[in-house]
Amino acid sequence: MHKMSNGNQNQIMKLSKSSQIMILVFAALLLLFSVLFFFRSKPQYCSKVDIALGTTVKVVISSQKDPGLILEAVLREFHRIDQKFSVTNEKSMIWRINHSPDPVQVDEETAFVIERSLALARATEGAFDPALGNLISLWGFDRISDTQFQPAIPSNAQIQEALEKSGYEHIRLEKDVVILDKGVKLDLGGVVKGYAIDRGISIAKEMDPDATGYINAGRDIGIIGPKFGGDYWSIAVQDPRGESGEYIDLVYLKKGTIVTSGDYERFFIVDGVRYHHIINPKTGYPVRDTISTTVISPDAMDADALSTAAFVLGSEFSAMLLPVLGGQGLFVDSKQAIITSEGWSFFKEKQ
Amino acid sequence: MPHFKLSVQLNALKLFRKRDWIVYLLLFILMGVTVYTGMATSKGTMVTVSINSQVRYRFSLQQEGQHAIEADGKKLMELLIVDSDAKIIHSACPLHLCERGTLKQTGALVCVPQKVIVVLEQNGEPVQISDEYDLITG
Repeated sequence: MHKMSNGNQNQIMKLSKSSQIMILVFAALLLLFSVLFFFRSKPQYCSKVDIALGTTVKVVISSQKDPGLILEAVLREFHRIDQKFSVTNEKSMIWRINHSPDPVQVDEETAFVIERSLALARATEGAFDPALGNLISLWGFDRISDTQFQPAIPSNAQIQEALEKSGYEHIRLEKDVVILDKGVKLDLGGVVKGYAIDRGISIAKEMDPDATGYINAGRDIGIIGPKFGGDYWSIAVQDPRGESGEYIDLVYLKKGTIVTSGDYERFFIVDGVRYHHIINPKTGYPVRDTISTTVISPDAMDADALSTAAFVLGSEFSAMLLPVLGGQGLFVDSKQAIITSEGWSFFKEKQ
Repeated sequence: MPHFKLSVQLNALKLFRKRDWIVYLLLFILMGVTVYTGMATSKGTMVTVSINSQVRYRFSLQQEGQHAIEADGKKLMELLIVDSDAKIIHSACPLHLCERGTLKQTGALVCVPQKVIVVLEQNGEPVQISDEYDLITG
């Protein structure tokens, strides 16, 4: 063995210097690539996309703990809320309330969501209204995600009839008992996506207080934490009449939520006329004076309701009202004029 | 014969010996294997199609043409890949909202009624669509 070893050594020594250098260079390169491959930087953020509440939900998380577990927990919460607050699911709490002839005792969570919805309805004088179930159903917007959905325009008589059985004044919450006037139906679609975002953020923070990232539910966004732990997320506002991805403004957020309501989100076209999902609680028809409203607020549930209310109330009034209710907004009217509330400019700069 | 002459001349210059040719050949093969393995590991930009939260199709952006997207033996839509971009066409959903825009414009193509999500991925990670912003609302 010893002799063979000496023999091999002699053979290597017989290689020319250039070959010996080449072998060394190749070995060094191989080592370098191996180091780069095994120690390449891991992705900063983990993400997962799913469908819940009739829209896409994307959760993006960075955490020193298990980001995969947090993603799953947040998405599970979205599905739970979807099931519980659906107006079409016969097992949901809202179905039970809407189809019971008697007052219904509800759990703490349902009572909270209804109570907050009623408070927002009162604050906006009914521009946001959680009791438009009959109107929304009449237009078919509660079934717009169904594969069998067939759009149809209701008659004026049908709309007037539905209007009589609509309006938040017909709902009463006495402790944990919900009482609806006869024929009135709840539809919490105007707040439930925001509520799910708020819950998702809470869950992520409970699992890891240092987690950062965001939740994007149908382009309504809640910030879990600053980008890379300290930077702002730059958030564009979609141009309501532009191609998807074209924007009219850019804001920077480290926390809070930003929600947009647009006439281009859920709609159908009949005889060349677009009918969208934001119904004026007073007329029963889709709002025509506004095409897009964006609201920044600490809570997504509030932002969700306020963007709908601002859509109904119109740009000028909303620009004054929103700051009073704890939000800031950008509004685009039917002539595509852009109006912002006074504090909106605060978010246009990295402070 | 000329090759033999060159070899003899190189050997005479003591740059290359007979054994060196074997070493160079081995190094060349090793480098080839490394490059091939590296290319096989890096998948490039892929179009990923999920149905009901399960990834069901993966296409390279180079696979231009119309690809049928099916579930349970039923055709849901076609995915058109052209000019390094993708678009949903001929969807079986009622309002065809998913047919608006292309993948690079929207960041994701979504058909809510049929629970189909189409995204761009690079080496298993979602691709950032815009350099100008992180997110878009509305």
